[in-house]
Amino acid sequence: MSKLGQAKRIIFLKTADGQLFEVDEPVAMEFEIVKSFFDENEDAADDTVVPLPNVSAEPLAGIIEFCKAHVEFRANGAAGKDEVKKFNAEYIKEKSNEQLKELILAANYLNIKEMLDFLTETIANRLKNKSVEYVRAFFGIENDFTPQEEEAVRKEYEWAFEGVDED
Amino acid sequence: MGYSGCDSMENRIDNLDRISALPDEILHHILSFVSLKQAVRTSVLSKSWKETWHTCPILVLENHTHRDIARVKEVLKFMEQTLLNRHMEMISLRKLMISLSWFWDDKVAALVDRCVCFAIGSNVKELKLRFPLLWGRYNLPQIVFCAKSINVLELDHCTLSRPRIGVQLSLRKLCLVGVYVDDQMIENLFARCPLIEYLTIESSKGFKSLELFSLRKLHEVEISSNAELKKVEINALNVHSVTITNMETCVINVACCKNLKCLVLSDLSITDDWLCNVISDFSLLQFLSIIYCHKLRSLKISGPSLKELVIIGCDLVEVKLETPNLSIFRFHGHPISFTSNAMALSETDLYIYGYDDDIQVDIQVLVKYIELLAKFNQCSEVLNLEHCTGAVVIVPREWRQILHPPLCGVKHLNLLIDDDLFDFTIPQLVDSLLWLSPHIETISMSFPLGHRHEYSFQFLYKEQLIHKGENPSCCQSLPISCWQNCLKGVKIEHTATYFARPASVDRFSLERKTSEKRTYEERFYFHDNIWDELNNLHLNLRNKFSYLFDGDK
Repeated sequence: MSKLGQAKRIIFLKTADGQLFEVDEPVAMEFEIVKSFFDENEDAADDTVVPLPNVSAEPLAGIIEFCKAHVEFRANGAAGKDEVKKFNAEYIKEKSNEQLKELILAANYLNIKEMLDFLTETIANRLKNKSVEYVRAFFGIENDFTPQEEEAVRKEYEWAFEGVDED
Repeated sequence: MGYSGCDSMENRIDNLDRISALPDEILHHILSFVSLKQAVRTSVLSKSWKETWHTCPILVLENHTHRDIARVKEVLKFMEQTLLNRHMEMISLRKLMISLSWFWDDKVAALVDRCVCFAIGSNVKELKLRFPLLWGRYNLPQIVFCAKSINVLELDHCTLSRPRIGVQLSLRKLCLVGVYVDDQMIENLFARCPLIEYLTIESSKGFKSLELFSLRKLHEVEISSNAELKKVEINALNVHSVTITNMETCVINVACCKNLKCLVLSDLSITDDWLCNVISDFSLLQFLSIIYCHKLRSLKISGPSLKELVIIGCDLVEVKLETPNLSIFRFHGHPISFTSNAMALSETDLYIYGYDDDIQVDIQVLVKYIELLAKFNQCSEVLNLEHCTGAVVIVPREWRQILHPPLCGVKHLNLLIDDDLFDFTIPQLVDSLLWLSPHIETISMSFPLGHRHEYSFQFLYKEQLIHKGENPSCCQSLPISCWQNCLKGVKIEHTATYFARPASVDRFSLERKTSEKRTYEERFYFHDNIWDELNNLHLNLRNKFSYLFDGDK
């Protein structure tokens, strides 16, 4: 719920590919890098454009969508509830590995801990209880070991290769 | 906004390597979420992944997948070797976690000792040791309390003993669960942790007194279920949050925490006077929760900043609030006398005991209940009611002419019923809730019937008839015309939640995968013959779960 009569401050963000984003202050402050920008430049004018040279428009749009929803969840006291899990599951469902990677890189650069934890955990879940072959195929990882080298690694960690679910 | 396109699972298996291109730091973060075994397995993916594992500074061993003690030792030996490798590579460890639950002997203890010592040798920052063993506790090496690198220390089922040399520690977070620690050690420990911010002590023994003085950075304290603890004194100016639970014989002094924002008191033998005095000192307090404190009778709470108040299961007779900024009030308990100057509650939760143990509700009980509800009218937009059977919200038609609807000011009414909905129908409940709160915007009701069902109703009204002088006879006693004549339509959303076994059970993973949560949803919009439609809705639901009703007969 937005409070009436309170002018909302808008933060301007400019991406590497030159797009300008207008973001509500509480959402933009989720980005540690933006927050520290304003902490360090306390007298920055209201229309200051914060440059984000390492982020392009597509992942930024995705990140804003995520943070906006989470800021609202917190405001409504819904943090940690099923609603949030549902949103997160829905959010991640249609993302390709490429999109995931871009989102992670951007979230890492912008320093958004909550989102980074969520994204990395998503990747971890895609790894869990999967065979090496499945993980390679799923993420498109090229096996650059010779068969002998691979055998040596497998032998070194023999105990870790028992009981893998061939998903 | 966001990405377009909807890749199916197949499309996602693309041929370009996306994940390996992430910086090692992030890959290490990813590996910290998977088991040690899974993390190790990634080293065979490719050369770069092998390197990623070899430099990983986060090592997590949880043993729920190990079937015997020989395997536990094998994995611990592997962990020891890995720690040694990190040490040789001069990699500073970010985190070591070892969590063992079933198997234990002296050799296991010796292996854990060596892992802990190697980790400290690699300047570990976060150390978590969990041994929820049935037989006793792990004797923590004294070196842990000399390790300056550790910021975060979480110990479960350990015995702490006092080190011979006392150095200043840089602990920021300390969490002790089920530990044994004597008074001397506790005193000595906190004297050496000036930077501590988060402290949890739970189910621990060996000490009778806990005095937290002059810890300037202390932010959050949680103390619970320490059976031998007789005295807790917290005197730390910057503490924001204090939780004290399940220590009935403990004397508590938190009066000096003037900047407290959040206070949770549960299962304590605190008295009315104690609470009244303490609360009046906390002018910044925003959240207060009082749970199962059975000595309390009469609560007088004044708090200029208090935003949320939770009172559960106390034997209270009276609650007086002077909390002008209170926004959320949750109360579970026996009927009370209630006065408040909080006029802008955004949400109220009420679970009043003793009103609906039976399906038949006595009319005097009903009248009392409606009087109590009326106290929350006007001051709360959202009212959540919880009941066993829901019987008390069914107001018989003959009484509706006599009683006054108690909740004319409420906009959203949510009803949670704990028992299966056998005795009432959805239209009966809707009908009565609409009497309790005429012209309400939304109603939701949640009840079990085979699955957990949640129905939410959004009501659309015609222009009010009252101005046209067409007020029908059934509404004459009401201040505004009743819903029966001005209901235009209703939007309904039904969500059912249930648990089912997952389709494919991974037989190798012993992680608990017993059942998973599933949901289904349906939506309706009714504008003609609303009551017939609601009856049909209920019949469909009842038919779907008819087996439950058959069993009943």
